[in-house]
Amino acid sequence: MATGYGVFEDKVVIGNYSVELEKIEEGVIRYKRFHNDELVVSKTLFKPTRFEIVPFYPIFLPERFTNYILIKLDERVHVHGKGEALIYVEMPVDIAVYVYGPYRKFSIVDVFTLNEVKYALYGVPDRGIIARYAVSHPYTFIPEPELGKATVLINIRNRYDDWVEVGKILLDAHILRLFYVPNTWNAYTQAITMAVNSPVTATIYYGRRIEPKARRIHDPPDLRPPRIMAKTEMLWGIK
Amino acid sequence: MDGLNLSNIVGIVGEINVLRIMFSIVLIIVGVFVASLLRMLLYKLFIRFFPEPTSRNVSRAIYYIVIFVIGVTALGYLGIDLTGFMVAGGIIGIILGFALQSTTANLFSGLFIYWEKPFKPGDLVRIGNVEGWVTDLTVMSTKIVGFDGVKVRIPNRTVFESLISNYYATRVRRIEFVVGIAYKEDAEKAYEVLHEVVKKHPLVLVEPEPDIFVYELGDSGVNILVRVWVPSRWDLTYRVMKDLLWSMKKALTEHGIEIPFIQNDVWFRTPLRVRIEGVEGLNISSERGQKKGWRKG
Repeated sequence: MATGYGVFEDKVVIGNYSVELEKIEEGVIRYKRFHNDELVVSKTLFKPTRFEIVPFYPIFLPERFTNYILIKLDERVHVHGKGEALIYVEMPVDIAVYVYGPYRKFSIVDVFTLNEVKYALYGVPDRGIIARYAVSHPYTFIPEPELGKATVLINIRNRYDDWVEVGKILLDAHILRLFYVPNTWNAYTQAITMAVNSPVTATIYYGRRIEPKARRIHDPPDLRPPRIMAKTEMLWGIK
Repeated sequence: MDGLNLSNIVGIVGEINVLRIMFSIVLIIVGVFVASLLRMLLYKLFIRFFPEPTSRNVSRAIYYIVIFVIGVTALGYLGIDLTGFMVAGGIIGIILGFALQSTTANLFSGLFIYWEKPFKPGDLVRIGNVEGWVTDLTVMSTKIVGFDGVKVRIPNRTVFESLISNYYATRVRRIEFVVGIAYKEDAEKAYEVLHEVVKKHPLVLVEPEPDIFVYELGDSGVNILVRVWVPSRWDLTYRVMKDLLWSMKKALTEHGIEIPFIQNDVWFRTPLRVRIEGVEGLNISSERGQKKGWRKG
């Protein structure tokens, strides 16, 4: 039985969930997911080559209708004019089960979550953004990895002349990348730079991976990052 | 119209010299070329503001008008008197103007709707009393598929003059529920129960915050208004509508909070006599000394 992200062959227990692979006949596998021992998902797959559990972008449940994740800080961070602050936050990640076929082509078999799923509007009703909502504490050290969470390193750079207060960070799952350390439940994103331009606006830049041992998940086609440098603008407040 | 009899036509043809004919032909050729160029330029201009069919039709209409003007000019240069045609054309124009009044109104309303863009295909809208998804927007009409799957064609003039609500013009929308509790119940406790239910639903947005408050002391109970914001996409809104009211009802019942049903006391001004089969002359009186019940026979 596997204990952690990565390839699995028979059964994995993830919190209250467990996923199992049952061989029906040669080349035919039944995928089953249980919640508190109750069967909730059952699928039959023909000629799969391998199955993998990965941390996944938290925008697919209960249905996908946004690309954004809004992390609200339970304590605001104050940064002086032209100053910098390095913090770690925890971002919720869902759990996805990938199935691979020939030529490394994969498909998402199942997505489920260990976190409470909530969404929020960032901005005004007619032009704002609906984002998956999560609350995190701004840590000054790397928090202990937790199942269902990914660690995000955020470098807040205040380009403004005066003190600013940061209380929320908006991330775009389309640009964001997720990494995991195989056989553990440790998940990470790349390093994020939040350039604060004014007391109400900021620009989010996406950098490189923070954990060298971590492996990047295969992104679904519609979530593959753009090849050019991309950023996210926070135009409706940073508190 | 004596200018059109045979002797006059022969006279006119006799007066036309070759040079004038050549010039008229050149005028027509150049005119057609200019009209085609104009049509192409106008099409490219209109396509920025209007849908493709409208741009094509309007530029084509202008093209034919220019061709007509060039034709009239060329014939006039040849010395052909077209006054009679112009008068007849004017009268026909007035008649057509009256006959096609509503068509013209729809056409121009369609152009204004294209310009203003109050909705686009795929939007969920309410136009007057019709609610549904816009499937097609043409010069003359707007087509909507209602929730019942019926396609409705609304003339653009009606659309233009109606109140239009576009549910997809914003990212989120607010929906409301009224939940009644009995007067004897603790409204604070009911508020907490309702708040917990709302908080648990994944599609009820955290921001803007849900708003729950007592808004009416009703005839049968205390009415609590629950206002929540949800994504404006209809399938998601509908899901919250279906889930939330039933969840709130279940939660209130689980917490022993009574949801009142409508109760009416009926008082009769005069005493009533109730006769039950087999028991002659039995009277049933109310607690307050008045007769209550139903009269038979």
